Amino acid sequence: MKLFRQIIRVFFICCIGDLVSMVLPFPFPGSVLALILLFLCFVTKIIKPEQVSIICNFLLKNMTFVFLPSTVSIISYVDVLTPVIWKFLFICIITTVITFFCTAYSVKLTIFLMNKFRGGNVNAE
Amino acid sequence: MLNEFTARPIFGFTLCVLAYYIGVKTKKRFDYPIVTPIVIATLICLAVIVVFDIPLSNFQNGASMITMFLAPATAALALSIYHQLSIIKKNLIPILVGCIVGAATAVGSILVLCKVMGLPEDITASLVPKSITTAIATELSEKLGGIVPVTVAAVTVTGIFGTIVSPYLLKWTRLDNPIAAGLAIGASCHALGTAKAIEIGETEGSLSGIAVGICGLATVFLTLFI
Repeated sequence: MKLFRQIIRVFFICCIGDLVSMVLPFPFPGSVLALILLFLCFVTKIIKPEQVSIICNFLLKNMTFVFLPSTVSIISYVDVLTPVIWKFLFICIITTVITFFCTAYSVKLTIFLMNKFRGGNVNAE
Repeated sequence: MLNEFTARPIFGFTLCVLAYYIGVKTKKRFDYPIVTPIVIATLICLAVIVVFDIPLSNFQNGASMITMFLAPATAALALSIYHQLSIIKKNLIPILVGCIVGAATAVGSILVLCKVMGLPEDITASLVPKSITTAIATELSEKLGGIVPVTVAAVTVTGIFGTIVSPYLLKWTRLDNPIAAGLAIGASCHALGTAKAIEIGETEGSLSGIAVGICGLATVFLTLFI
């Protein structure tokens, strides 16, 4: 029954997320709303992490499994993808490198500036 | 009879579970970046579908039940973000700057390159969310008018490429700050990169995991303006 209760909590929040997403005037994923709602529930102590930990940890650990049906469906889009496959791969690779550098240096700069102006030391433990 | 059998939901579902199980087992045996459970499982499913000439809609009758777990799996990310709350609080400003810059550069560079290379609009929309976690990327792709399977392919390519090159990128940039390194890996190559970041170091791993969640959210908010 414990697992049932955990499933109810998480899935109920997902239902609310989808409902809100349908009502919103701009496109916003319902699943992301559910993420935000569940996080707020943790912060406000409405739900304790251990009240959803079995189902959440299972889903987190096996996250890629839920994408299997989508990756298999790629077979229907071979016609769309074949003419642009090299451009597709090029963009995937080059933007990953650009994003990596921009993030790394912006964080480095931020930490440098914070240490300089505040005299504080930013460290993760 | 074969057609009738494969149209049953139990067929597609069982095939997925079995293929993924073999994928996980293979990963344990051969631990290379290119060998991931999802890649192996996809190849197995495709092989079965092609060899037995099974209509994709038959396969999807069972597989769509698995897709339904996408929303709960995304919501579950809340738990992993919550577990990192103390590290987030301690490094709030670098995390926010890194994630917003990361999300903006990813979306910006993809839009510019797609435009320059003259890619069709639906492919562009499918590529925009490719640096974030698949759970959020697929929903976003759908909302932007993209093709979900193409997005999943792009996310997977990005993740595998990132896993292979991120240690070299760290070396070339002489990036000795673990916070910057972790955020850069998480922002550029999502959960697959995070697995690599955990191997590099504990701080790198946690920060990468945080970046995956927060960059996903930042990208969703950013795309409201494009």
